[in-house]
Amino acid sequence: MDNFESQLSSQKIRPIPTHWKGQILSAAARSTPSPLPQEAWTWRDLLWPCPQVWAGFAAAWLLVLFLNISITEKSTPATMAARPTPAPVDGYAERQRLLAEILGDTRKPPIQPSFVPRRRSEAAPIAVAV
Amino acid sequence: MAGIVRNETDGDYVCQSLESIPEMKSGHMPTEWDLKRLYDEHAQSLFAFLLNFTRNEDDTRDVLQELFCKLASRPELLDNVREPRAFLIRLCHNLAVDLMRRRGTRDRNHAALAGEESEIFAPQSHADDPAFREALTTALAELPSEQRAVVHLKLWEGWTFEQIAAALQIPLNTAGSRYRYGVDKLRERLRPLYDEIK
Repeated sequence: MDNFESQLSSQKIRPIPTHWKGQILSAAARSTPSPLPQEAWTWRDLLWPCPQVWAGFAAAWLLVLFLNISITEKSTPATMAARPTPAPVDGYAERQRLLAEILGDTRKPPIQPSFVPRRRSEAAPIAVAV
Repeated sequence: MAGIVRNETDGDYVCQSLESIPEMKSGHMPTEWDLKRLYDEHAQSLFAFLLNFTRNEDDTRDVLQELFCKLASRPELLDNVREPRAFLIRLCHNLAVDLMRRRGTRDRNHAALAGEESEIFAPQSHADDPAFREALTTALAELPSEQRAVVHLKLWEGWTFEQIAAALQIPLNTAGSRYRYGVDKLRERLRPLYDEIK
């Protein structure tokens, strides 16, 4: 730093106005965010606004659960197997009999065996070409 | 969260975890006391820098107030700050640049502004000083604001070019060249008066 620069730096900059401190710090204090509440969260905070509504939701949910269980019990595999097989409704056998009568065929028409589902374990193995 | 404390061994300011400061337990916002301490320790330097940079006392106060409001609302800004003065000067510089951009025409009308400049330098006892101070104030006003910022930090804060470059976020060479150009202009402008008082 040469003499000229020293001469410049020796010039004192005027002091900050004293009344600024109060103004600036009070403005800053207004900008300070209020501290967050540190209380622990409780279920009451959630349920308090309208406990009747939450009680209604709980009752409806229990009703749905009860109905769901009762329906599930009725549709177990044992109850499904015990149900009678519905009669074929396609009328194929009836049409075959009428046709035989018209044609004078005395032979008995072949009776289509009703479909009886088999277990998977009794099914013939299926060869799959890869 | 962190607070600013003075290191007793080397006198440097360092940022310290709030948990280690008795009056600032974890989770608490910085108190007014922290801001007061920041103000007491740094406001005069920030004021001088801003007054020289903006050339306007109202703008200086606006920026200073904005800075402290920002620090109050976002205390995490001071986390891990090792040199608070440099950090605060950087914030002030950025806020002042934003303000000048918002006001737009200020930098483009140096001549028009000359009449409304605030007094920068304090009166002194030497007889020759008033003329020199006035000439220096005018000469500084003629410098581009970025050169003025570097000249101020070098001459009146005594910073190194590395510190200036870091604070103003400019390359080291840019800091050096801005200072050189600025001082050369001041030297040329003030030579007659300086030769008189030398």
